Amino acid sequence: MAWKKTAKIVRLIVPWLVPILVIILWYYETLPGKNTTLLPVPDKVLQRTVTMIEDGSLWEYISISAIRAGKGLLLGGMVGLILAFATGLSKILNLALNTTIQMLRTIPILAIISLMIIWFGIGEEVKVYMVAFGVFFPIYINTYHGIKSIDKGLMEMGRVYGLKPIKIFADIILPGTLPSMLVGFRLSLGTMWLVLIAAEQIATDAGIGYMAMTARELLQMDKIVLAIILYAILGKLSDVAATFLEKILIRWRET
Amino acid sequence: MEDKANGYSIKIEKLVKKFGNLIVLNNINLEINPGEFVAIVGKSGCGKSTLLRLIEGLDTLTEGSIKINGKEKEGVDSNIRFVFQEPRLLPWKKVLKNVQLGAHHQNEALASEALENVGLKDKEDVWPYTLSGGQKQRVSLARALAGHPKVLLLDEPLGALDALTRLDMQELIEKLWANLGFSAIIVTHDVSEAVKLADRVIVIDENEIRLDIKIQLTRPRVTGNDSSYYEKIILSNIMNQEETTKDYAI
Repeated sequence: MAWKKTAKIVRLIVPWLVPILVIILWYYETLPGKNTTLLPVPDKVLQRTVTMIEDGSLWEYISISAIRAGKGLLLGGMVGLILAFATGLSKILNLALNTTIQMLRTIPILAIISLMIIWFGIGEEVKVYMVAFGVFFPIYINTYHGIKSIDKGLMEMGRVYGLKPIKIFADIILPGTLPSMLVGFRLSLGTMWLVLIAAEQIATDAGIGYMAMTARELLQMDKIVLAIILYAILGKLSDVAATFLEKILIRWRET
Repeated sequence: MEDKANGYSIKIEKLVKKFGNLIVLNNINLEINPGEFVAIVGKSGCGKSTLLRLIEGLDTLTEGSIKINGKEKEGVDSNIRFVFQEPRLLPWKKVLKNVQLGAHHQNEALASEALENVGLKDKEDVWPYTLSGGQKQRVSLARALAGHPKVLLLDEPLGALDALTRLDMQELIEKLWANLGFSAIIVTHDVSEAVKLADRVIVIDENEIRLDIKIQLTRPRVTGNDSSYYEKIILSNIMNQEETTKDYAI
């Protein structure tokens, strides 16, 4: 019992050892007497964080970015899921759409930013659409792959037991696709932040990307570093959320 | 024979099955009485599994007819259940829910009763991955029986199990068949399994029925001299070499 508890504590601590080491190194590199134009003193970043929390701007930037990310994820995810089920289940739709989608997938997302700005200006939409475009592919491809790799034996079993199409979908196809769907979701979260940062740095007037961009122009090193740390934390939080979702949705899998 | 009214008769006439130009089954004529237990044996690729799938309605026949209980067979229906070689349980449903798939209107009480029949009442509320291979196959047997079928088709159901579990399962299948009175067809490549379970053994060789032999041994059966007599006949027909079997006989 005792060693089990220790093991649990060890498992909680060990993943954080490297980040802690990095912070210690950071302190060491910015000790008095060393060059601090390339890297701000950690305390300054901390100070900046505190002042930005106090004047409310930090929360504003985070929430604006998070809302954009969420909207884009919802839009791109929904379209991705719907199209994946359409092409995964219907041979005709697959023939009609899959080639186009696979072709679009090869376009580097950042290459279409300029086009998007011309179409939608630098308002809110362009960021949401960019994110949607970015998250669409991981969700589409993994869901499609999940549908295609459903055990044919289970489908045949469904036939033998006279399951109606709606029941085959709900009892076999949907749960069978869920694991790959969640893999797609997890990958799309990574793309989501990546695309959002890029979009926010090019065309924006608010958000974390905007904060980083203005900081760069004013050479506010502490603010740049803060933006990077924020992205790291947000990315980690998304990953935790995805893992949690997997855990509660796929309880039937051997662990 | 008093209970055998529960099973349906099967009548197969002049059945031919081709995949493209390839003839898989040729001129099959077979009559199975209500409640009879028939084993089909043969080399792999001889078409024995295809015959079973045709009876279930999973494939369509090229020529001839299959009549179940006097009526022409049309598609899949709930009176005829199929047990696959793999359990094919839905991993995302607990055991009882899996068995309910086989019961009329997914009736829980029927499913529970079927699980009790296969001795897995205590596993109702567990995920399939926690079960052993033999237990999984027993659940799939329960699923097939939950709908009280008139015909049970078993496609090498014990092929993936270890020898001891297989003996257990053979006893279970024999017991359930004796109690419930359905007609049963088992496809197997294990000749002693066929002799242990079946009233009649059919050997399919080169797409045709080569041997149709009644096993006149009292039940419950034990493997011994009497069964090896039948096993020898059946094996020599499968192996297609009547003369040489003498050399190998023990």
